[in-house]
Amino acid sequence: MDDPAENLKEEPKKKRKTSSKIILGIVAAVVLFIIGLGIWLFGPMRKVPHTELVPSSAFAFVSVDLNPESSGFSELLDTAEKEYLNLEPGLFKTRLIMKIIPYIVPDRVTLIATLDDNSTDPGMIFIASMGKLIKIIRLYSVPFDRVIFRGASFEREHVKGHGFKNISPSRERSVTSGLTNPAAYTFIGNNIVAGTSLPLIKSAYYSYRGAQPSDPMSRGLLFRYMSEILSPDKSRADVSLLVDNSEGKLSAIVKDFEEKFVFAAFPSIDHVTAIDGTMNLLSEEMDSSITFYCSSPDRLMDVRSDVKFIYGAVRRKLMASGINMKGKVQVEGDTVIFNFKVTDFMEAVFTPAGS
Amino acid sequence: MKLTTIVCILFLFTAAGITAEGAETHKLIPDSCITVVTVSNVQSDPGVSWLLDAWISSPRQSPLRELLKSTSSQEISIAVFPPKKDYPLYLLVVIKMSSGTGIDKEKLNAIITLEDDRAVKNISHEGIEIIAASGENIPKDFSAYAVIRDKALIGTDADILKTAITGPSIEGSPGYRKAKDWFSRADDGLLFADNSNSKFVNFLKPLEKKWKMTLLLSAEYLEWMGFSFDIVDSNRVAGEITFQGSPDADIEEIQDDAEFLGEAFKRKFMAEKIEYSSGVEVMDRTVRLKFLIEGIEPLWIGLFEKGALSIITPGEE
Repeated sequence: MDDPAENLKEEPKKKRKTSSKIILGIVAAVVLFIIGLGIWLFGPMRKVPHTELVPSSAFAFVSVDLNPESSGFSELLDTAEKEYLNLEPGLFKTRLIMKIIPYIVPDRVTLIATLDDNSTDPGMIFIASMGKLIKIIRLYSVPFDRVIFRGASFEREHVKGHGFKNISPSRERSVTSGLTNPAAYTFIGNNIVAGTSLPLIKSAYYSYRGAQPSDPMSRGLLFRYMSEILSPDKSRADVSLLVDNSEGKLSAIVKDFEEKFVFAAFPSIDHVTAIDGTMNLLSEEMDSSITFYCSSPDRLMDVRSDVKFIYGAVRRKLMASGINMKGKVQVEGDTVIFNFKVTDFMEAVFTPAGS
Repeated sequence: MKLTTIVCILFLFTAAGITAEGAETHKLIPDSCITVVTVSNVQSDPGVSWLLDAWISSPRQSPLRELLKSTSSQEISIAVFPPKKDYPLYLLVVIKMSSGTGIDKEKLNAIITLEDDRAVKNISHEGIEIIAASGENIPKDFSAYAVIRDKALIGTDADILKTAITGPSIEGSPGYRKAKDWFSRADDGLLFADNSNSKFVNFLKPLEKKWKMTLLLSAEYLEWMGFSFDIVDSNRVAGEITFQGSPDADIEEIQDDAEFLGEAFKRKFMAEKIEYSSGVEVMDRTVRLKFLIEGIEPLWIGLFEKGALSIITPGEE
């Protein structure tokens, strides 16, 4: 027979055992969650190269390498920290800021310009390759949505299980306003892909989903050039650009601009088949070269004259902001090469206006 | 002496006399001005008279228009001075009337006062009477005038007229004298920009801020800038812009500015389907941009409709 007194003594022991089990279970679950989160957060990430996100309507791109290990960007950051940001070295805040920056700055950003047939309104896609931060943004995107849509309302749309966010009511933005205030965005692999309209973002997604032919030669100049500059075994410039004008897409935009402003800024543009360029960031200057490929040797001097004029206009525009530009335009073979250096931009960027 | 020689000498003297008499208004422009443009042969030259008529009949209101409509002017000088508080564009206009033509004081009063307040006061300065607006509502462009013989002086305020009467005149400025010597040929107009003590640079800075673009990269190297033009007729203008560099000037930079201006004109006229040809020459410290424009009539009309002064008024959109 059970001794009631014994039973009374055993009861709290049993309860303690049960609650210990529950606590243990919770702890195990939390540990498992943290391990899982750690594995998810620090585990390998699906990296999608920017080449996979180029839609068929694309005709130009600018790609900027911001990786602190490979680009001149870290040198710029050092100069900014030492000369302009007034951060006292050794301070905890300074160390923290300098540690955080590499995590919040993308490794690479690429701007892709698109133009549909029979249109003169270009679209723009902005791609930023993020580090692990993208996983946190994807997990909790409320603050990011607020930043990207500037507090405006937005709606979600799913295509074959992939989510897009689109400003509400749905509308297209101009290239200039779309860069600072995109109309739509999505996450593709390690990239944030934003743009001037939802259909444009979708077209980048469809390109990634394999709508493109596998043969690189059939994927056009833009893809081949971008693959080349993103190739890991190639020494890269900090900024690379390419404009493919073989279908006259840049010509159409330039002509529309010229008509709008009644000004012949680049009348020889029809004779330029492609433009490529590189820019390297140094601590206090940018060293650049842009090559204009000419379709006809007879038009080389016209192209040279136009490039020289545009250089003069840009130089005078930058000078109004205190930025110096000095360059040379010359003809080499069937190309017009424009080499230039930009200086004093750090001071212009970091000195408050009016001071 | 042969008769033909006498006739030739007489002709030369007469021509020189006409030119000297024609170029008189600048003598009343004080040397503190940044830039002055003098347009001569207002009635006799077909190009200039067409230009004046086109301006007079343009739809945009201009305070001087009514005066020019009712009088016969021979020469006009317009000078821009460093801006004063409340007057972003500080101006003086000197108009020389054709001989035998009177000056309509009612029209002058209408320029310096607004319709709802015609109050004026008389100020005597060195024996010359200055009439200035005295009401609460004073126009921002022109609020005072004086008449000296056959010339009307209209200024942003009475102070600028006092300076014009007292002198010294720009005629004695070394830069202006050099520019006059340089442009010895009597064209229809001469624009002179004085950069002594960086006057022109300081005038250009707020405008460049407005345009968000540096117009002349070499401005700091310039002693003066001159622009001589000949309005051949309603459709054609020939001219020359001269950039005079200072002794330590970077001539390549000045040449770059001249070439850029030439290219900018070419591209604007090309888009407007107007014929334009130009060339840049460098001689020691002087850089010249010579040009010829044909088929410019529609552009003049467009400019007058927009209001030419709005281009150089700081802060005005």
